[in-house]
Amino acid sequence: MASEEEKRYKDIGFMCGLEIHQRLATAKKLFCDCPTRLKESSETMANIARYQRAVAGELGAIDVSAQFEELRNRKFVYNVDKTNSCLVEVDEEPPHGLNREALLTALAFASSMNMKIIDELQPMRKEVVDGSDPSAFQRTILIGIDGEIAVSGYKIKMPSLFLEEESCGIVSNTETESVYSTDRLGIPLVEIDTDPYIPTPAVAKEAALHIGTLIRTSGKVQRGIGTIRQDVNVSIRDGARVEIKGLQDVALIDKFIENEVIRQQKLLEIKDILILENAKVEEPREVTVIFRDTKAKVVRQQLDKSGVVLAFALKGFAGILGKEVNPGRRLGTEISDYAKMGNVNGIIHSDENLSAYGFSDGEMGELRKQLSMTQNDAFIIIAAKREYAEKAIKFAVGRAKHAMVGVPLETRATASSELCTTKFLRPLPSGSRMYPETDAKPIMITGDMQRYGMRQAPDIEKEKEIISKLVENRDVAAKLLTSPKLSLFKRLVEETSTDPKLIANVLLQKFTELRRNGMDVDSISEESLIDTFIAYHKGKITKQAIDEVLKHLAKKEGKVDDIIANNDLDRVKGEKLRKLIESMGTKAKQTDINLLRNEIMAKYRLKIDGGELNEMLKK
Amino acid sequence: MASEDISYIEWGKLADTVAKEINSGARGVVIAHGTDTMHYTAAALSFMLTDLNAPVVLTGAQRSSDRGSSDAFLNLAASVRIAAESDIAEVGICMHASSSDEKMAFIRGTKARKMHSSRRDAFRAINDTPIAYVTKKGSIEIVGDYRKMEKRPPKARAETKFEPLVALIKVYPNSDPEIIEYYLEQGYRGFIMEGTGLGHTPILTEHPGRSWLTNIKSAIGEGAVVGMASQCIYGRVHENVYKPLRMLSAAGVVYCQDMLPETAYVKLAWLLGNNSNERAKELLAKNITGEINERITFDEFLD
Repeated sequence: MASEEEKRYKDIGFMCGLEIHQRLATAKKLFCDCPTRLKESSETMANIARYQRAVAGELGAIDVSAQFEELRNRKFVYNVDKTNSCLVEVDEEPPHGLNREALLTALAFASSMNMKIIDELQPMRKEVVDGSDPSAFQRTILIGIDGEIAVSGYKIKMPSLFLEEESCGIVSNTETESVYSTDRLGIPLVEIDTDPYIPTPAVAKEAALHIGTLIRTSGKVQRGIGTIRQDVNVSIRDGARVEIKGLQDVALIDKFIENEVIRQQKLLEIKDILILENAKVEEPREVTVIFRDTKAKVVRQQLDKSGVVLAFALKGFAGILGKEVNPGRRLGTEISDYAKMGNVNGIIHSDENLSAYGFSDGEMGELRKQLSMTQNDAFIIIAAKREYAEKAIKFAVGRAKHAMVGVPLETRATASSELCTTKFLRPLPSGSRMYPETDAKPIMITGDMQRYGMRQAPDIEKEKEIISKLVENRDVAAKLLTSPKLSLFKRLVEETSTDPKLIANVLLQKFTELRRNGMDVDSISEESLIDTFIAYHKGKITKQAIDEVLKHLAKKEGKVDDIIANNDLDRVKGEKLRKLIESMGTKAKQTDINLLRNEIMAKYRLKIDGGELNEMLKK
Repeated sequence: MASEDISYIEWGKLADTVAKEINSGARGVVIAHGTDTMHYTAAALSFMLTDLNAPVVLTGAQRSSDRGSSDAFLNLAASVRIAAESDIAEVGICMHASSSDEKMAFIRGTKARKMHSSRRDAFRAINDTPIAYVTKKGSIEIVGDYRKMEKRPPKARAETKFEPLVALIKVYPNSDPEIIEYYLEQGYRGFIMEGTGLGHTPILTEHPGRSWLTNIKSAIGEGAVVGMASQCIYGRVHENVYKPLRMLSAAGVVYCQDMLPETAYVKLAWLLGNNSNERAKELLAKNITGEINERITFDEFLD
């Protein structure tokens, strides 16, 4: 039954797996008693600065990505949030007991994916190297193993579900320091993994949608921007495992995976050429003198700040650095991303339009001479403060050498969400970054807890029935189910007593329409939406006015009541409407009811309910 | 009476008097007290005055009132403000917030501690923020959470039973655990250990007769309640981080969260005065009147 597409991906040795991270909507954090509900902006009560070092994992090996980050010698600053953090977040107090609500939710999720539940849970520390956790580790607990879900006719194996702590949110990032806020740190999240045998990018997308829907139907997950993130692991035969981190939009997952496959294919093509060319990357050397009088702005600026110019030759690389590996990205771009880790702006290479930079032929000639280059060769130069330039060129040489080996193992992040391309973030962590959390006791899972998990396991089919009944339409129900707005829909139905069909229509169609017109409807708070629907339900505004209110809310123009008042959106009804009809009728001497109706509606479309008007005109 | 001479008998009398005043219409009470043991009295009143619906303020002076520079006047004036005007239905201590004659802090009775032998700002909120500040001019600025007075007449009940056979024991290098046997022979029913760091006593020591585990086990075996607080004063004890902690906790020692050792002592003795040993053990690490905070925030240290 293998499709054409499946066969195509099988032939290239395609491997793909998902990691889905979803924040849970518990009252308290995973290992302390701070509330998980975040305020719109965090309130800092102190700033603390820390430096972190790479430590050996339980196997005694220092992780390559940890070492890499330590190399960068960064300062980490934590804005200590007042409402949502205590001493536990800033690593000044041992963890409290494991949050039971989070544990039970994770058990329910594991059950819904037919997993085996681990009967004695051992909290572990997973080393975190980018400073996003003040303790330099994240607590994680394996809850379930060996599960399976059915997605578009395929059985997808689900080898693991973890309960983890959320990391800090980043506030700012400069050359030498990263600033984080502790407010969201420690919020419980689940990590749900598939095995690496998802057959095609399309099935990967379906699987991500399915898992997202499944956990959302539980009603136990946080919603809003950043509360769900999906990581994708991709490789092809002779390529390498690459982890694309933090994809927010599930709808684009397949595109990102397709592009990663293409990138690896292109890198392998490049490798083949380089081997044929007998290519070689030379050691870097300082060439500052050549550019003493340069008019090239990017170099001039650095030299004026007493910077240096370093360069290296790439034998047999002529034309290779300019080869496109993904839309808008060349091999040169890939190398540049590595160099940037040394705090430089980027690299300049020989496949670029060098005269556009302002380099003279004399400078280029001298550079080629000093690097003993022939027509077959390429060069890379970096101009920056010596300390940064030296570090950066080491990273660049390393990456350039790997072009002759193939695809580097990497963690990558979104470069462009329009083009669905990615860029290097850091080397892929190896397995040595976990060790037991000795501050927290192992947790025994009792039969009661297991049974609770099974009873509470979310069930998509059941949920579909419930939603279908509410909206009286299976297609709309299906759309709602896979939409991130599902929980919001349920809350609005429950709290505003408005017709579920209207709510579904607004959340699915109107929102899409307004989004297309550039309105930031997703930033509207749930409370404002509740107020809007209540205003409609109580007859304060008309159905048509809902759109208007939303537009103003998206522009952050204040509270719903103010928006209604400031924009003259109060519904005219009852006695007032009767008087309005009378005055319009007299003024225009209008006796034809249809014409009168059209005239009134043209003028007061947003303020009058068409049904009520018709009723009244009949009288 | 000098405050170091005050005992649970006086605490009981004070509680009775305060309750009587409140039940006969006082909307708040100010108690002038010697400062040395004022935080013990404040803790005792916090537990003894149940169903409290009025502010009860203890205050004193670090400079005697016979000198013009005394802090007594401002402390007293601020205390009266709290008692007469605030809606704080708690027992607390109101003293200078800093060395300047500018601001007085009202600190929860179970979280206050005298932290300096002579300074005016000796009393500090430990693992907590003050409930309020009172300025020299008399305005009250609320800064912490507190139990609000309910819309019913001021009221209090005094539950003054107290078990005097409870000991507060500090461990230190070379300390002799046999002291527990002495207390048990005297019929003691409860012990608060002032442990080191996260709540340790010597256990895995190589010196014979210096491990506290055996003696603690024998106390628990005889039905006594053993609680653990930290001599660090600031911070929380923990029962998992190190092996000796797990051994003590497995032996039945109750880890008293972020409670002050003095407060834990008063609480256990009050609990044992009113409950069975089992029930007292159950309640020791549960918050009753603000003595345990689930969260210690970053700003709640020294300053």
